[in-house]
Amino acid sequence: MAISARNQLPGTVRTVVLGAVMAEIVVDVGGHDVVSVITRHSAESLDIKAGDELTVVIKSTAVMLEK
Amino acid sequence: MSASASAVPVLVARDLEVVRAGRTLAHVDALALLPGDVHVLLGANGAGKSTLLKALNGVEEAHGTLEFEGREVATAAARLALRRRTAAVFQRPYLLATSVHANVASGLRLRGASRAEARRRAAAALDLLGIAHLAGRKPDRLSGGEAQRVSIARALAVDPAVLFLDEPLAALDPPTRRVLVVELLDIFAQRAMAVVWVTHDRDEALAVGDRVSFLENGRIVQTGAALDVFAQPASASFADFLGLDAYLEGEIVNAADSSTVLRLASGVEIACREAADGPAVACLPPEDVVLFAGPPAEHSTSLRNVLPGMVKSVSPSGRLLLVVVAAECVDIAALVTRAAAEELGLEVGGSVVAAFKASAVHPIARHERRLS
Repeated sequence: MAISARNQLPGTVRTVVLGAVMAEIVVDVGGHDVVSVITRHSAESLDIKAGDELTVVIKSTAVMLEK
Repeated sequence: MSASASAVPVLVARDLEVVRAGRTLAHVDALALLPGDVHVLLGANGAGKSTLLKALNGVEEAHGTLEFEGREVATAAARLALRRRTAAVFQRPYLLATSVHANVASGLRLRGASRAEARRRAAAALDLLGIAHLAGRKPDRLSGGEAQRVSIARALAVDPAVLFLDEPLAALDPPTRRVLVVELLDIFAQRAMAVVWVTHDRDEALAVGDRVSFLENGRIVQTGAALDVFAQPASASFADFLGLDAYLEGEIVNAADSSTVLRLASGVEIACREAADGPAVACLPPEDVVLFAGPPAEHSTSLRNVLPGMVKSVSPSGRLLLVVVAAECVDIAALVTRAAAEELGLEVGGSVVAAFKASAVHPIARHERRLS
């Protein structure tokens, strides 16, 4: 699907922690952990669980760099 | 939420101008304050808000016309009479080093109330602000929030026709601010007084304002119903001051599963950050919005808000493009790169889908007020 977000990184779900309202998902992207906080509702409707392959999407305006 | 359209203005300013050393510090073409309305003077520091407030209050001498309850305020005596029928609260409470009760009674005594009447009305004002238990305390034993409550009680005790508030919450912590906003708006509605509220804070203006005037270089550059003004800033500098956020108006509804939505008038529900039930305006920053060329497949994205629409405009914003999408009943702005716009083939009139996380939507409570 064409989307405006510039960064689309394929990865594998390592952990899923469900809170009352939000869910914290850690995705292994090329050996690095990327953490995503989404609503519990979304995590459940996408049925995200450890081992799933998915795409991490990040807008370019949200990416910080350090040197 | 505001006073009825037929209400007679209590204070009217026409061509009011404050000039010092040949420099215009504040100028108003026309401003009318209605009973029951909270009129916010919004602007950056140094925009002339406080000077204008003083001119409206008769404290600062000004050229032009000021009318209070239908009569022109033209002489020093008339200005004094105006000040007796109004009251002011500032960022700092400016309390006298005497008891809380004596502080609140002081305004009444100055206005000629008898000792007994001052005592009675001061007690009622302390009650109204929930600080009757502090009546005997000295100001140096009060918290910042308590001291400001005393200052507000002192102003309300005189039952002013117009209440002037100059950054009344600026020195308070956010939880105290939130509680006080709700209480103050309730009190204003019961009293049907006209309120002028000066602030430099956009969110505060949205939370309290029935009408908003934006000031710049001492001049009101735009005035109108709060949401109209925010939705359509008339100058580039006002738009800069506000930021590029979209403003979504609706009702916060919390579902049994703890999810929070903003229900728009059209019935469309926008998933948002946690907030209490009730009327609200939500701000949505355009950098948090992504665009899809077409609707994403069901259960393929974690984004809780997916709104199909049509590209209304595309304009440069620095190195990025600001794309405004006319979605069902609401305009959503998205900041995207030029490369993304090209790849998606964005053009005005074309269909597109705007999508954003629930956590990108920040609701600000707008407290419903009814004149009793």
